[in-house]
Amino acid sequence: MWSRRQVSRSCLSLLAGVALSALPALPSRAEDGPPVAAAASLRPALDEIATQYEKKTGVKPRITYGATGNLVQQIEKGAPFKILFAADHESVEKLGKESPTEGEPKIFARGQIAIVAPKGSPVTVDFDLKGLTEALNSGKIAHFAIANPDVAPYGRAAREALQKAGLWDKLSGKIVLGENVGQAAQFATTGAAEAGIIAHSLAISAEMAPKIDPAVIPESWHQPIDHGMALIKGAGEPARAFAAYVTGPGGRAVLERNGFSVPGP
Amino acid sequence: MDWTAFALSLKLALWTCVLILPVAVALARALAWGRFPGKSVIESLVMLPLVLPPTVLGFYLLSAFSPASGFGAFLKSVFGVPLVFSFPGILVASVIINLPFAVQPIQRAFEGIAPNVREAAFVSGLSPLQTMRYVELPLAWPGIVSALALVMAHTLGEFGTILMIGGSIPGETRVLSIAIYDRVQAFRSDDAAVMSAALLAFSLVAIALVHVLARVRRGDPHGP
Repeated sequence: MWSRRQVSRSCLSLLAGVALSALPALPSRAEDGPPVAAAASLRPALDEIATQYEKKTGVKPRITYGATGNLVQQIEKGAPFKILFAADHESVEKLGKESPTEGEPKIFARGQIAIVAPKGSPVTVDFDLKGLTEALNSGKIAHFAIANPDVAPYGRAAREALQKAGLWDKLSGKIVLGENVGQAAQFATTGAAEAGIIAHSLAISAEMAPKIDPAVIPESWHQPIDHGMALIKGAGEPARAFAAYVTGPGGRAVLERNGFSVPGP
Repeated sequence: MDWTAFALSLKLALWTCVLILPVAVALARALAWGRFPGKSVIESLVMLPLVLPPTVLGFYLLSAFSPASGFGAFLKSVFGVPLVFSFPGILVASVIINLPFAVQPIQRAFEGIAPNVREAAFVSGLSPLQTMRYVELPLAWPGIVSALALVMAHTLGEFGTILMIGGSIPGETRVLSIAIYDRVQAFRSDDAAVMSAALLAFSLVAIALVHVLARVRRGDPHGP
């Protein structure tokens, strides 16, 4: 049994320990790179670019991936991101009006959508969604994954393609919405959904490619998915340097390898 | 394992404990023994985060903390940074969310102290502060340690509200539970599995500790 003195002493030392171990941790880290907001479709490409960039400069950009619409919301509410790499250009232009950006926003990549099905799925994937139509008609589809069209440009494009194929209404009640295209890809890869429409860049990534069959959907079936980027006002030199690297030769090569087409310099 | 997120979660949990302890002890003591108007209102408010959906709390905090609002601008001038999408912001949210977890066990511990013990202290000439230090706190310590264990575990697991007002900024607001969510979306199930196991183990230890302390309290009604 503890004596009263022991108890109060141990309580005090517990408190002191808590305070001491927490105090030095409060100042923010000096050597960390700029906070960056990026569309989920860019994850494989931008992770690779950031790793290259860190090797070259010693600066590690801190990247948050999410649905473009959500990231714009966060920036407008005061999130401290220095660069936005969006999956569309409208969001970047909208940002220019409500939360000031530095310089002109620009388009740095164009993405594609692909229908994907996990290995062993009853859905055969093909560019004109014929296989999906068949599987749907024979009642083999319980869930179909896309990103939330309200906040994710790839979700918007997926909805347009499904409407074009005349499948949107038939799929109602079966669509599962990922919060962003990364989550939709996760649903469509793990077998939670029999198939889905996601970013081509994710479908060919090292993590996903072995688990799924993909087929790219023609660009004429949806509005172009032009990825726009902007520096947020007061971005500072480290952010400017990283943005320049992503749009420079090093970044462009990685983007192209990851399934994006890149506009001429 | 995302060590940055791990360190951040630990930092958040420790700071939450430091800030919440004096508030919780004062509140718990007042609720245990005090008789004042509006007591049940305060008691309800303290318990509210327990039943409120995290997104509701997140929404209100986001609206209140946003520098676009007058109150948010005031907070920004006090803290030097906006409280949205920053560590101080998720810390404030964490303290609010954890109030019921901190107050409840301490309040029960205070309620368990027999009135004649405190009366004896008064009669012996101890001041209220001395009574608190030499009589009440030593008797209530299992409740206080229980509260801290619950607050630690709950902070490490908190997700919804922190995601809403903090986003997922590495090293700033991406705590362990959000890192797990992020890693799953990045197809890094192995990472997510390690971090989930760590949180599971920690939660188990915390709950076990709370149970042991509850037994200490029950088994020894006259205090240590």
